[in-house]
Amino acid sequence: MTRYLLSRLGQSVVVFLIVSVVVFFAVRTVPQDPIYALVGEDAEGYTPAQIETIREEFGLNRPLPVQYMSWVGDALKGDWGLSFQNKLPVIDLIKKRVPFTLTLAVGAMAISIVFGISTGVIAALTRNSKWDMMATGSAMFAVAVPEFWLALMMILFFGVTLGILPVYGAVLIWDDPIEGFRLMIMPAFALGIGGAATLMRQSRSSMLETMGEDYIRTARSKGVKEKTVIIVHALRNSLLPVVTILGLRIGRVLGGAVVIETMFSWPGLGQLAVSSLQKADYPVIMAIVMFSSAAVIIANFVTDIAYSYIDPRIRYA
Amino acid sequence: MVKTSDSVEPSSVDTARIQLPYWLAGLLRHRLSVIGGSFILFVAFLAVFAPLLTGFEPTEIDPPNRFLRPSFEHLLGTDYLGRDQFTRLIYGARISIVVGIFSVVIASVIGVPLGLTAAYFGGWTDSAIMRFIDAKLSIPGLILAMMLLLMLGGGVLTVSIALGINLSSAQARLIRSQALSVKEREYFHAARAMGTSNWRLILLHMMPSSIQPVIVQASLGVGFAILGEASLSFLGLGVTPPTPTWGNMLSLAFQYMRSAPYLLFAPGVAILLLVMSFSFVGDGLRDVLDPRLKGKI
Repeated sequence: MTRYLLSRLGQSVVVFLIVSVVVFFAVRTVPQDPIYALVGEDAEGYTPAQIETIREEFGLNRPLPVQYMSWVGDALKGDWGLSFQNKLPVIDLIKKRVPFTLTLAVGAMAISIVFGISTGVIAALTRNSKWDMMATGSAMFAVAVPEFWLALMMILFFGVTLGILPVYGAVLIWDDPIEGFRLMIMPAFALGIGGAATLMRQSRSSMLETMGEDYIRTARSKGVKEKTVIIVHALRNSLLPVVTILGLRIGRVLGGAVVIETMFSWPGLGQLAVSSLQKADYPVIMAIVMFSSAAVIIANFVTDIAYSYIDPRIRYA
Repeated sequence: MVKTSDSVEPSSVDTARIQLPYWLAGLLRHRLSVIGGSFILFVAFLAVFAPLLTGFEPTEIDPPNRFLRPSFEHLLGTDYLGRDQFTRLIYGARISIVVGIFSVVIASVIGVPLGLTAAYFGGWTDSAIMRFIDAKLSIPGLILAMMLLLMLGGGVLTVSIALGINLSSAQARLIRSQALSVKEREYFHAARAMGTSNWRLILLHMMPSSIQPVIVQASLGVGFAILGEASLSFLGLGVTPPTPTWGNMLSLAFQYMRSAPYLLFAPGVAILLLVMSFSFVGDGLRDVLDPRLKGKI
């Protein structure tokens, strides 16, 4: 187990390093000169010499490999540089945004889990019934529906027509639980529904597979109550592959958050990503990409470890 | 337009004699694929013959007639510049279809060689390629696509490249796992023992036997690419206005949601149906080509 853990950890570190190198250099090939983010739109007000001074101040005149090494060194010390747009420390910007994205992501995942697993299990247990058809049909719909269009429809219906839910703004759920919850319903639903569909399909098929296993027949013939067979014997085992899907969802949710946060003026990382990409604000872009990539890598790592812990066959494969 | 399962029965001698390729015959027996395929053909027809189907230009502005509700003259109404929405919708279909298809082609062109190389050479080459793919996968797709678009600029081709790069890792992983099993088969060992060159081994012996899942994944990927293009255009990063795309039509509709809510429906429904259609055809193709893949792709 230790060996597996170490090799898996090593892989994750390598992957993270590759991301940092590739993104660092890729961001710098963006044709837009970041100097405009620094000096504002009217660069004419500055003499070439002044612009050169600003470049030096932010270290933009050094060779790229040197810039990369010093960025890594500083980042490891917790100094992620200053945002080109407003000269604020990047780490502070990120810290302020992370709780918003995190609560939204957790809300979206919760919706995926609750809707996905329950409908998947019900569909499997009532195979080929009208419930199964309805669940399978809605999953087809939910996989294909564009998240932002679903959000638009909800805004139109619940926000504009009925006026029962606020359509923009954000309060953290621990600052004001009721308002925070109301504000989060629509974005979290839009973000989570695709995952619900994926989870529904996965839990349906794995539940069907488990229900056909010999040990289920054995349990039944022992006279175990059907409810116990389903909950204790079948459900627990069939949820194993579902756990993997959950780990893989993190990246999707963080990506989807870009559009959804922008639509709902939700002040998270996704919204920050859009504004800093448009301004070629290197330090902020780097920090966001590194943060979301770290979240995905850690989620995959934890999933793998959890999975190999639950199912020992994986460790020795 | 589409044959139903009846045509396979010997009741009508003429149709029974036509020898359809097995995958097409299989697809035609798959009900959802037929529905999906018909809808795709319908949209393709609208897209190709768009100029003949409408009396308006997609970018033709007509300010006095802005925000007209749907009527006989303007089937889907007009937007804030008085542009005809139906016209923009069918011209927008061109972008969706072209981007959807270009993206999966690009994804396969990048992913297949990577996956085959990794599987064939194994060892360090394999590790290096796979770690690189892991790294790519760890960046959320939309953020990666946005970065690529800022580097390459907006446009049909660049959007397709950005989305193609995104989809390529799935292709690489799939063909790698198939190719790894081909590598262990006897005919492959035999070919290698005869001194066949690396290139010939990869292209003639490894690729043909491992390509099927790539085809299935590609057909499923079209839908993802269409969704991706719509999201990017919605954020104002995809194909640049005034060229109509379903994504940027929705983005405009969002801004004028209170004065013209009817603009919100058609492009969204169009995306939904087209993406669903491609996934139906993809599912059908998977069941026909390789039923074992069910639940895996």
